[in-house]
Amino acid sequence: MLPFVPWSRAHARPATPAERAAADATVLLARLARGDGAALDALYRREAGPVYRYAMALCGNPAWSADATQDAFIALATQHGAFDAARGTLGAYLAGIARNALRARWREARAEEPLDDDEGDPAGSLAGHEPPPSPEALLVRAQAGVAVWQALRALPAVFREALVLVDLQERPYAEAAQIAGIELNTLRTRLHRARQRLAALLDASPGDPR
Amino acid sequence: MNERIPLAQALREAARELENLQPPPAVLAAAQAALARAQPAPRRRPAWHGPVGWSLTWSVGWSGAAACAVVLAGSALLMLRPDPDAAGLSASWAHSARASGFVPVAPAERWADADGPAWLVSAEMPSERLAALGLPYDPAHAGERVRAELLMVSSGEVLAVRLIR
Repeated sequence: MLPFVPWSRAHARPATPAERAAADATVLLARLARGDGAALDALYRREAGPVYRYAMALCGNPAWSADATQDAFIALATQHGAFDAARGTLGAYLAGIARNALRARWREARAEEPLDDDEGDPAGSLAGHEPPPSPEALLVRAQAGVAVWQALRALPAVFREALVLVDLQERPYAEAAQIAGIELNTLRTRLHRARQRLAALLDASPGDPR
Repeated sequence: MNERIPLAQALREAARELENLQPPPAVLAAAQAALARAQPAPRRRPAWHGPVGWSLTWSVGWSGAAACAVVLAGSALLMLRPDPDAAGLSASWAHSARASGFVPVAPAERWADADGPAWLVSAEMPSERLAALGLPYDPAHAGERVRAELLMVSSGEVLAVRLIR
């Protein structure tokens, strides 16, 4: 039996899409906890794309990104109750797991973590072991798309992460800060500096792209 | 070639390119397999070997208990009216205060039918009434009033509840 509450619209406001999505996710998670594979399908359709794209934009490695996304969804499917809606969105929770999986891969591959708080790391190359191209080399590449990705990969990883989360994925600042595990002000600072560096690499004018 | 690209345009192009990427199907398959592995094997109900007539007694007893539970839950929910005093507050405290996640109180099947607009209704109630919604509460603070938001559809059906701290 459904609960029924007498109500008046004078005492109510329309639920925002985000609130409705959060409530929908709660229902799907409740079904998932009972082993409902269709609920996992629905959650996957909603959340897997952004998680995979976040990983791809960070590391540029399809296999690593798929593994990181897989880790996130296996955790979702098997660790019921680990996600706490009061602490953030489901998307942020999944992206956080993928981030940790990528960090583990980097530790294995390079014995260093580009996503540590070392903002001065000039390489931070997540795509591989090749050195980043110089700004001059980038400018020679006329194709904007290629140049942008090259420039993004030349940024320190923590700067790239801020750009990916906010400017490319258009996540809210609070969610981006949660995924990156940093304070909101730190995120803003990194974003500002990342835009400046990217603009310099592209010989473009910086500014707030949003 | 030294053509200047506006940063915003460059980022838009990168975002568009990124948007086309999708994870390989094997990722979902692996997650589904993990979900299947994580489910406990179904437990067999032990056979009942009581005297003849006991099963009828048990059935009647449990039916009565279930009916009482339904009546109690219904009564508590009917008392859960929107607080008129909260009307002016709803917009402000709902956004300023910290809110928990939504807790579904309607069966999942009902959500599939609830395609219309949803509304958030602010309410205030004694914390003991949380139990009627199937939510946890601290008996030591049973008398205290808690604020909640009810996600409702136009018919007045409550789909989910979240507490405001």
